[in-house]
Amino acid sequence: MKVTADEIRGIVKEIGSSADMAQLDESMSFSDAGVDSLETFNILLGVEEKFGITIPEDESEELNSISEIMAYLKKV
Amino acid sequence: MIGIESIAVYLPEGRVDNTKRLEQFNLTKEFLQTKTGMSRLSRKGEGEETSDMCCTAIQTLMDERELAAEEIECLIVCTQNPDGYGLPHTSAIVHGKLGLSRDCAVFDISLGCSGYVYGLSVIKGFMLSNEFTRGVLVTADPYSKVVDEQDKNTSLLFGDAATATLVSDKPKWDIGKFCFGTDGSHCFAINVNNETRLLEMNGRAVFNFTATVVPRNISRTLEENGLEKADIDCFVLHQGSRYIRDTLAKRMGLEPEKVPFQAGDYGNTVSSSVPIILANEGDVSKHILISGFGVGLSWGSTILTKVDN
Repeated sequence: MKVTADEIRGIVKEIGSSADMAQLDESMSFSDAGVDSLETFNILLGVEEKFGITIPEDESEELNSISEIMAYLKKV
Repeated sequence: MIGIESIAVYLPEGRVDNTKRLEQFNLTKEFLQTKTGMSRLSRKGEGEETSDMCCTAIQTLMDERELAAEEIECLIVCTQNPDGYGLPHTSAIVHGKLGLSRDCAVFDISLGCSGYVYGLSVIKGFMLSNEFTRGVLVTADPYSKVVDEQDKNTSLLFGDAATATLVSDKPKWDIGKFCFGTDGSHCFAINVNNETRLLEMNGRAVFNFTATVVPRNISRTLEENGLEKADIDCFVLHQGSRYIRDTLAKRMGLEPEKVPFQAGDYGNTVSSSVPIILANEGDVSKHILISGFGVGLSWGSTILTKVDN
């Protein structure tokens, strides 16, 4: 599944994250961008709903940036 | 008609100040205020038992409504943190402490955050089938008994409280149709560990469940009761956290003013969460939708409608 960074960024924006969107580049970790743990849950839920997938618990722990989510979705 | 006549609340005086624990958990003040939302958590007294909390709430109700002990025909206590090991049941201990009538039926319900909604359905059905006119539904679930104070996931959330609801044939609020649900496949998302006897919670699983299941349940509840979102004056949702409230309001397209969050000074009080807000919100609304959701995973909603006198 090929997904763009803007699609993931769109999810981050849609959940109303407190992250500085201007600073949030693909490789920056969510926590460094000011995204907290609860917002990360919400982002991953947004990814699941948008792309119709379920992200297992152990795999979700590795998804902490836009690029990591994109790489994950590429393998799905 | 059997419905809600009055609600009494007992919030213990003791408080844990979360603002003093930020460094311990490497959290910011902003996270506390905008995400968990609980600045302080209420705590029962050291020797105070669950039954004591029930008695305090019930006594307040009796005083406010001039209700005599012998008038109470049934008493249901909703708790998953009973006195001792739960045998005898906490409601029986309460019965003895308050000197209720020997004809009074008492029993416990084991449910958490969905407990008040389920409890209302149970007590209403029990009263109707037995032609009772005065029953009391109590919620008292002090999680301070099981919270791991070192656990970032849970120790900033839960507060102790008890409520007592007089359900009678002189109701202020009619109770509508209920919609319930359970997902036992995720039953261990919130549990007390058998070895440590401490509470554990899978934050992501609980968030996902809440964000996806509760809006669908609320939509179904509205439909079952022949109402639309716009007909509801107030959505009293379980106070899991401020972020849960915000997420649900956003996902359901609800104005934040209609979805109160009031738990900032006392915390997530489990099955007391909904009735504490109801006790405050009752005067201005015609239709209130109440929704409880949590451990089980269990959920339930109904609509309360003010009775015209």
